[in-house]
Amino acid sequence: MDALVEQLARNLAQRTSRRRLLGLLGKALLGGMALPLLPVARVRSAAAAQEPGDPMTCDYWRYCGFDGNLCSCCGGGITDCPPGSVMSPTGWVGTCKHPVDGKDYIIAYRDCCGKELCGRCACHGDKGDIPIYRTQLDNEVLWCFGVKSGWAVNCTTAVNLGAKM
Amino acid sequence: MLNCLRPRTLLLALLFLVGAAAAFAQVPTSPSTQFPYTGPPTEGVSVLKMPAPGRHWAFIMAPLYGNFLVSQIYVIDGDSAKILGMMTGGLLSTAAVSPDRSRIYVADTFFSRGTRGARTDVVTIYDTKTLAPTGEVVIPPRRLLAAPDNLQLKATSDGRLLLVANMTPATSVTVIDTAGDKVVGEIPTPGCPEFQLVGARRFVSLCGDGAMLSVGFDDAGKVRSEKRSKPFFDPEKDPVYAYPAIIGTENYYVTYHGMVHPMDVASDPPVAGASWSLVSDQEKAQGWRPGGAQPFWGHSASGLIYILMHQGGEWTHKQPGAEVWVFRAKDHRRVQRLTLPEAASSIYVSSDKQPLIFAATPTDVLQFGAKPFTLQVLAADGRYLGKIDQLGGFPAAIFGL
Repeated sequence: MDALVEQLARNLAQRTSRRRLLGLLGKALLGGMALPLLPVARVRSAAAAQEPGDPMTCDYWRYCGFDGNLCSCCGGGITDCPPGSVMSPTGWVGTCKHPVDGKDYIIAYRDCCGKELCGRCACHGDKGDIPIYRTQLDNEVLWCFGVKSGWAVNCTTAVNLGAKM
Repeated sequence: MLNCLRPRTLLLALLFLVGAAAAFAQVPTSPSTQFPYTGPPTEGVSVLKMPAPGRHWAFIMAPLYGNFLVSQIYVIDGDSAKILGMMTGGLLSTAAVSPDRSRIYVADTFFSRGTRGARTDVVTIYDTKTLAPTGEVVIPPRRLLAAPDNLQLKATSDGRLLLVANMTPATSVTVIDTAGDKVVGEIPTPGCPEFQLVGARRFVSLCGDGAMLSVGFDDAGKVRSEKRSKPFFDPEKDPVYAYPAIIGTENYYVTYHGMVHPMDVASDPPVAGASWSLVSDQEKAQGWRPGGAQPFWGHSASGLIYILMHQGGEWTHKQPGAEVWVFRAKDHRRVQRLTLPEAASSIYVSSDKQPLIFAATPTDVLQFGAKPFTLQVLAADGRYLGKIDQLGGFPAAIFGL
């Protein structure tokens, strides 16, 4: 195995300069980072320019399927957890209509875990909420799956995943 | 000067001490001044025992404000409209009673540092005679953590096994042998969370595609048979509430729009019956539909289904209702229309032949200062009998004996 790796490395070194190799590696890393974010980033930047409404109120358009306390009222933001809390890698999803372009967008509601409920701006959207047999659409579940910390939910964010196909 | 005073000062001090000691010894022993008070009681004091279990008992699973790290489980006597006692569970606890009624099981989740730290899941065992905890079974830390309902913890009809619903979010059921209070197995139920026992060693679970999974198992918690029904509802168009109205061996699944899908769960796999509607075209146009956290209950002895109804639009499936519509399951006829003093979000009807209706008002536990809830008690004919107010937490689910 060692010999094989050495041979591969030598072949690579003979065909490529070190600078070029670093450049290639850098591109691969950057590309890898940007690729999965691209569709979301594009939608977010397009929508952010003209997202009317107050994200600290329950009738803000992304909260149509929300259930919990708004992180915007609790030291976090629409898509950001408050300091020291742990963002859950999982969440339930809803479909909300954008008030400007009229399109339906998939919104992921991700809990910020590890601290007691903030208590401010409690909102219950319930649009698209389906009982537990459709777990990913159920807002009655504690969505701290995969979080190493405790399952207390500090507040909940609303991440725009992009227009519904 | 100081030197010549010293012996006299010492003498005075000594006298003072002796006097003080005597005075101290003479402190009256009335309970108001003695601390800590350890004297014998001057009148009868005790910790009360529970009365014998009654058909009009109701158990309310009510997670407390915020993250539900503490859960109230109230034990209510409907006849006197009083609290008999309560248990305090951990995060989103669920409760169930053993078939011989000697034990109350509470499935709990705790974190070692309150909101954080190592997770421990246990089933705590309470003595029904005292409501005191008498033991616990540590279970895998995979318990389903969602709004409590009556599909998350249950003992088999012979009391031998106790089942706990899991979600990681992969779904399974932990099996506990109550003879030794030990975990014996875990049954995977992929895509089909929660369970309802429908036979000595069989449970059914609703699945994401609108079908039903039926699992036979043995005393070792191993799967013996596994069958699936055909899908009997469309979760995309008109989802059913997860907990059905149960009448005998028939499950009546009610949809957000007020359709009823019967499932015969005595069959393996369960077989769908003919669907029917709770609402006429006119009532539908007026926006009548079911709503709440536990919006209906089936009463097997009479064959009646009691449903909390409200007028609202799409996605108002959690909205409380001030009316209870009563339907006879066999001919789909509405036989009664009751009005509650206060709109309720959870309803339970006791299983005896002179049943009581229990209806709990909702409260928003995501807010600081969430107002307490009220449990209303009515006779089966709708007569208002009384209420218990100032109850804490959210009355997510109610059940009885």
